[in-house]
Amino acid sequence: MEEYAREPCPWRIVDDCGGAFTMGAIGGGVFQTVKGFRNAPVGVRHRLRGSANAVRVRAPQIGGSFAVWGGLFSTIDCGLVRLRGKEDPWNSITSGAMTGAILAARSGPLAMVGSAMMGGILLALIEGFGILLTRYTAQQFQNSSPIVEDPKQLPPKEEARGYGQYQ
Amino acid sequence: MSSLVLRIGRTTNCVQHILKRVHVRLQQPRSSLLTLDPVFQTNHCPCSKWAFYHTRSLYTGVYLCSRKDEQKDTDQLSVSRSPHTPSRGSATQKVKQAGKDFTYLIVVLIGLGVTGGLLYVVFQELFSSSSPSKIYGKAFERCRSHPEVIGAFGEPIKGFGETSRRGRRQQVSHLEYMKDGLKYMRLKFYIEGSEPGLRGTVHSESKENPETGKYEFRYIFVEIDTYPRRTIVIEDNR
Repeated sequence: MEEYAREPCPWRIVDDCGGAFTMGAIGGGVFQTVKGFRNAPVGVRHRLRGSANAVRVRAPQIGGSFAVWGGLFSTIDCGLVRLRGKEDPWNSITSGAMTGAILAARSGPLAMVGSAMMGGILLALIEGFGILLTRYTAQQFQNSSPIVEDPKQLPPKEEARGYGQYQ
Repeated sequence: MSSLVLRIGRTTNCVQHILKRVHVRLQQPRSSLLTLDPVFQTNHCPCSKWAFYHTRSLYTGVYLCSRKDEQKDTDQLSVSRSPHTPSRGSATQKVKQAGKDFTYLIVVLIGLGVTGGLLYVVFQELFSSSSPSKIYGKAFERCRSHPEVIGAFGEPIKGFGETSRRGRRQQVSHLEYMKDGLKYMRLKFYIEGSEPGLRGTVHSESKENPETGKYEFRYIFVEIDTYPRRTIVIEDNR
């Protein structure tokens, strides 16, 4: 079945765009619920109507912004994978910086530099969180003393059978 | 007769002056006002000369004077009160402000600590010479430049790690262990080339050099996962 595995890169752009929109719409909906509630005039019915109106108007806009960011980020990331031929954390950080710069292009070069730095730092934090999460989950399945021997594929200089576990 | 006319004129001017203070406008010829204004400025209360004839005017003047005095007293009171109020409230406000500042400072420090920790992890992963990402880069360069690998997979060779749920493949699986007092690290990542459907798994092991402290490759080999299965040994330093 491995030969039918789909290359993730072109389809991942669409996946990330949709995922970002969902994240923005739901998160923005939560924020706008609180904000609309506080901005409405006094009275329970007034406040509930204020919340509903704020969510109805603002949540799609926030979702749209997140979708633009996620889609552009994923596009640049896939472009870098194709150009470099290698996937590593540098791709994420570079893509975040370039996305921030491109989306701030209307505001001038200084704003582009600032947004690029913000995007790069944000993606570095996300990468760091991902690395920590990977290490933490890997420790759950780690055996106390793994049997470490040389792989059998190599020509035998000494007797070898099996090889250790990978995390 | 002429003196009587003069007296009547002056009386009219006094009445206008008083009514001006009360902010009531009379429809009078304007020229008389313009010509006689300096006289009013010079004399403070000229109608007092004719108190014998106009008791009402005198009473109105006294009332205006007393009102002025009251206003002055009120102003003085308000002026005297203003320096007291901040001195009483400033102590309480300072305590409240200090409490707020301290709370905000704690929140900011927590945020900076978390951010610093995450950035430290990222920099360690990217720039440390003994990180899995760095060793993966070196091993991949060896695979990329090996002629047998190029012949098997085709020229633009791509390398990636384990596929996550969202299709990102940036983390390579690694295993670190100690043996005979030295650090060992095993890596596993995947390569693809321009041949469709052909995919290889690269196994690599590095050993810590006791003199330099850096990792050196112990072996690197590529295991072709699809048919025909075979193994390409790139480096073997066992």
